[in-house]
Amino acid sequence: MTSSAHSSALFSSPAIRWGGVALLVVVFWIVFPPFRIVSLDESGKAPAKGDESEVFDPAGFVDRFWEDRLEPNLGEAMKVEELLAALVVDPLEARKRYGLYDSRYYFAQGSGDVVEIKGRKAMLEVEGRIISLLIASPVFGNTVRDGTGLLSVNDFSGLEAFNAVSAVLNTKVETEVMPSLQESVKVGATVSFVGCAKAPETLGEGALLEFVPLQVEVSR
Amino acid sequence: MKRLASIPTLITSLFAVCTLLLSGCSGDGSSDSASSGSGRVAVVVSTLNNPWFVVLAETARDKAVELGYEATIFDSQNDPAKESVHFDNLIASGYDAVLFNCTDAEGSIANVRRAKDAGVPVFCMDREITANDVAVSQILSDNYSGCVALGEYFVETVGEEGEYAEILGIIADTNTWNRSKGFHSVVDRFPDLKMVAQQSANFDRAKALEVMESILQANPNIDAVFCGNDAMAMGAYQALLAAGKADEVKVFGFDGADDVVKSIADGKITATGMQFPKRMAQKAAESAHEYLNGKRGFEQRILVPVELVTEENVSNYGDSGRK
Repeated sequence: MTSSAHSSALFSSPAIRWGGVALLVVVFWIVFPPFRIVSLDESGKAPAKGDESEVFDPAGFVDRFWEDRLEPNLGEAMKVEELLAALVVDPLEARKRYGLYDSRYYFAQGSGDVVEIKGRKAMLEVEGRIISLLIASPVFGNTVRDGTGLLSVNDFSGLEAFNAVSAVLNTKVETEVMPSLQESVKVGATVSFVGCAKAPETLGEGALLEFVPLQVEVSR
Repeated sequence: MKRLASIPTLITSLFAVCTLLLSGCSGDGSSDSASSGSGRVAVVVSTLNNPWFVVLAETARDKAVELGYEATIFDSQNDPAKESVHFDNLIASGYDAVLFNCTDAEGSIANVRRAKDAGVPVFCMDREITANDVAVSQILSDNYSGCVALGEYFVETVGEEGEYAEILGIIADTNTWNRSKGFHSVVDRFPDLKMVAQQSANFDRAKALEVMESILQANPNIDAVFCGNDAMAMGAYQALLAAGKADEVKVFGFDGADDVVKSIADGKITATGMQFPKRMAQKAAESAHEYLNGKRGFEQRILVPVELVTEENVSNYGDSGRK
């Protein structure tokens, strides 16, 4: 029997023929899968397509932003004395004139003497007026993200990325600006700071503004 | 050849005629019409089954009419398929602009792109689509910030320890997650505040009632419930009332719907976030008017601040905004 006649006989067996077909189908399915299983994230969405470089990295963005844009601009923050003088005359006019990010925040620098520690806040006296400075975590909200006027929602792919940046910025303030403040900021100390604060529409009792610090120096 | 070339045109024409006829017969399509003007504006809204969205849609329509346009409201009934048909209809019918409240942040992008390709500008209201190059602009609530404030008030009123439940909105809507993440950015910092249940009720009042009932069966000792919108807050409150727990469990909503603002004044609901639907709708209509008159260079996203409404300041709010 020749080898060709042998293989003919082999493939003439129905079992082997169907087995071959099945094998081909399996190989085809492996090479061209009709579906694939992916894990959904907590919001029920599939992970982003494309390579990793397309996935927004809020921590990396914040590190670059802090070093390349925020720190070089800290000196541009307005003088807190000037802001407070405008605020006590007319809070709404002060918002219009000095407010950033749709007039909702202030970006200011200055120094004051610590007159009281109230929980996580130090109360500072600046030319006879009282402001507060947050000296311990947690930091909530978008005051840091929006208060400098350096970031806009339109710089990002969407609100999810923009909000993620806010959370990372708050963590950065907690871990890199605040750690030593609770020990060093005492009544009687002089504190120089650059920070952001929400712009009030009216003035209540207590501190005129509540600052979240971006940079702090403490001296006796 | 000439005969072959005419077939696609014939199919397109037939499709346009059919969709127009269907929209006229369905009852779920155009629900209202106003006076004629210098053009036609479509208001496509995710649902009219929620009073908050009725305010949004009707304000957008009324502002468009005030600006001289004929305006029609299309109700998508929270169904992306219906929304898609509405876009087919309004493109085929030659509308000049769309004021749009989407059903799905990603799924709705294709509809907006289709309109854009047909030369119909789209202005999103309240709900975001996750693309930067299809809508002319998106006027959106700052949900995250609003829920940060709500989270801080939650901790202040519920305390730094206890059990609570969260009722989420539509899973595919970015508002659902912007609200939830804003809330959790605060509450999760207090480890003794434990979330014992988290479930979606699709922003729907009746569904929230069911969800709250089942949450209460498994977790009878919760201290509070945070709901992703006011309709769900009202549904949750109804369930708590029926279970005799309305005085024990604090309910937090989000939207600033009139019935919830009144319920805060009555001491039934603890707090909500006021979203200003009228402000967003009017801004969208004004933007469309400016665009149709030649203005370009709109910001892609405009965030409208959300304000915390509590029993302390509820007297300042009503009629879907500040008094």
